[in-house]
Amino acid sequence: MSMRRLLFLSDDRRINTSRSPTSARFSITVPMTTDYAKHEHHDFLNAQAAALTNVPLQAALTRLTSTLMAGNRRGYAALVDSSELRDHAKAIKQHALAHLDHYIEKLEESVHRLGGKVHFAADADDARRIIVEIAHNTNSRRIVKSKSMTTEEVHLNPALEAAGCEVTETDFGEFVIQLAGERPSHLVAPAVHHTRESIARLMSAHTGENQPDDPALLAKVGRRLLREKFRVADMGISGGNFAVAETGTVVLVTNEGNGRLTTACPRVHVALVGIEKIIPRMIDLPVFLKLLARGATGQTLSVYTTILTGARRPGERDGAEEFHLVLLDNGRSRVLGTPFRESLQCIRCGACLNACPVYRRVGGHAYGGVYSGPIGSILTPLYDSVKENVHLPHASSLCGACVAACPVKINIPHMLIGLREMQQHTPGTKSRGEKWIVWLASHVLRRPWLYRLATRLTRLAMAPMARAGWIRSLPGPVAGWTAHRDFPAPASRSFRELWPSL
Amino acid sequence: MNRDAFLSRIRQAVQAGNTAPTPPLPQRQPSLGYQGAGPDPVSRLRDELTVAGGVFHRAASWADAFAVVLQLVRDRAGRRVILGLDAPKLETILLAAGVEVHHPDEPGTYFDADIGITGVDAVIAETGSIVLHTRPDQPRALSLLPPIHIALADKSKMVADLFDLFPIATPPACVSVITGPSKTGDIELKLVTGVHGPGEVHLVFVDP
Repeated sequence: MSMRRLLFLSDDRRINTSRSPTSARFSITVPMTTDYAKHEHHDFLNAQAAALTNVPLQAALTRLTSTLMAGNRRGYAALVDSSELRDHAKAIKQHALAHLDHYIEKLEESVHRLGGKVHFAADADDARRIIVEIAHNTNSRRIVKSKSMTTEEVHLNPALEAAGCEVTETDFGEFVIQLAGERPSHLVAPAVHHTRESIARLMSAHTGENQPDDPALLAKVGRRLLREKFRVADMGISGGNFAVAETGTVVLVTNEGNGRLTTACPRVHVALVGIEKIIPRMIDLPVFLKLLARGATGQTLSVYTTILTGARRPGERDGAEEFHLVLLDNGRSRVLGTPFRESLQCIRCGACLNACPVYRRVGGHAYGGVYSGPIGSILTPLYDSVKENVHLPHASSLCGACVAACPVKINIPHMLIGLREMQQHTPGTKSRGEKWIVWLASHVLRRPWLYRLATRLTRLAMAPMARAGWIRSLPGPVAGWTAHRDFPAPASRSFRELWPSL
Repeated sequence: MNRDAFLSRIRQAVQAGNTAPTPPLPQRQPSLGYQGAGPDPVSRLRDELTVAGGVFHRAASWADAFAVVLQLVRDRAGRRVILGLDAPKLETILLAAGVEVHHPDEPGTYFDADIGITGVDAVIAETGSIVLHTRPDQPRALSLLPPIHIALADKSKMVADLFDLFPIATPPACVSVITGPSKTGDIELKLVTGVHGPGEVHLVFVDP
């Protein structure tokens, strides 16, 4: 595969730096700019710089990611054969993606069999239109939502509000975000960037009463406010952690119970599910359930696993009377046909965010897209624009901590390198300086005499700048390096010069 | 976009991306990822439920179990109880203690109830979970809306591992796998229980 070549593991094992190691296989022929994400910004560099000096944010990120990462390690360690089980989960996803057309049809048939309705949303616009239509047709004015990234992705709330509906986010963190008019900054902890004080301020402003900054009391106020919403809601909107093709089942995993309330109380349930969430069989579900919570938080299971198969049955007292499954493509099919297909295995647990030394410092909002962290650095360029998100594939040290944490072992560094490669094939994202340096390096590295000369000249040039073995500041285009750290001065004799006497 | 155009786009993408031989649907070896419950499943169930924040009560008989329930209802000053369990004896005991007992088929009782009492369809020792299937006499709200949930189970309902729950042959409209009380960590990662679902979950386990 072309991916191997990117890591210079080409079949002939020769490293050829004078030409691009891949053909155009990494370019995607269809235009990359879509309506996938009306991103918040494309300014990673400034956003991350601001995040680094935000003291409460730094404290919150450290607390969250350290706790969740410790849970992730503990969770995998406590599970027998966790590595093999993760391989198995990955294999199920690979199979499902390789036969996705088949499984979509199967899922559709299963949902129909139970009296549900299936809708096909090719893009965000479709998804918004379909769901607004369902709200209209079912005369639903008051809508409650359980936490869902797909609805964030398609910017559903403004569309429903424009259609005259009242929309309430019911996951506590999402509720806070909604009050603040923001976007989630973590996949499973959307309000991590808020403190108890800022949440108290938001809830005080919302209720018109002074709310104390005590977590238990704030949660109690949230419960009371949201109970009222559930009591009168006409429609519940959820995402879906998994959709089982064989049975037409949609599975919701939550810790608060908002997923249960959203699907139990209102008359209508709409699930907006990305097509990559389909798994073939019911027996595949426990494989993912065992890994999802362990990967995300280290819990053996999240508090509530809600396995929904169709609408309320005859004689039953609660649950939605109408079930609508909206299957969302929104750029996924385009990625499905490329070597980036592996990114569609993602089950949105957030483990890669918690593991990533970059995310742990800059937080979710710096990434500018709906999805953040290492997986966001892949998804945002692919679905939004490679050209507009040039920094994201580079916002990684390629250390591999994300792969080690991922429940389905997505090779994220591999794909980040692929995106960096793709930038070289995308007009407007090529770096001329980088190209010139690589050209120069290839010439120097292929000529030992020139290499020796170059190292000597470099040493001579750098010697006057060194103090006690370190260089505090470098000139010109390399000044960026020493802006944040010192550079080690070259040794007086290089390894190659030492070698004959060893 | 209509269904056929949607599907044909997926079909094209599947074909374009399927360069290598496509992987078969993997079959899991029964031992893979199977945690089991160890030599003492009941202790495992108790420990896991406790870690998840639930409370485990062991009862030697059903009569014992009912006594535990009565004590819980009294301790929590529960006034309105919804009894989603066919147990006339328990109802008699609760009524005798002056508790208002409602049945799942009474409309409009759930939002104001103090305690929901259910049976179980299964309990999972590996994870400390309570499993409930929806039925006309077992609505979702029973274990969801009241702030306290008490589940009664006997030993025959216990399975060792999450895998033992599957496949669910003819899945009901909703299977709820409940592992402890409702939790949130959304405020500075401070654990708060009962934000949406019950803040207290009790499992009264009949193990003669």
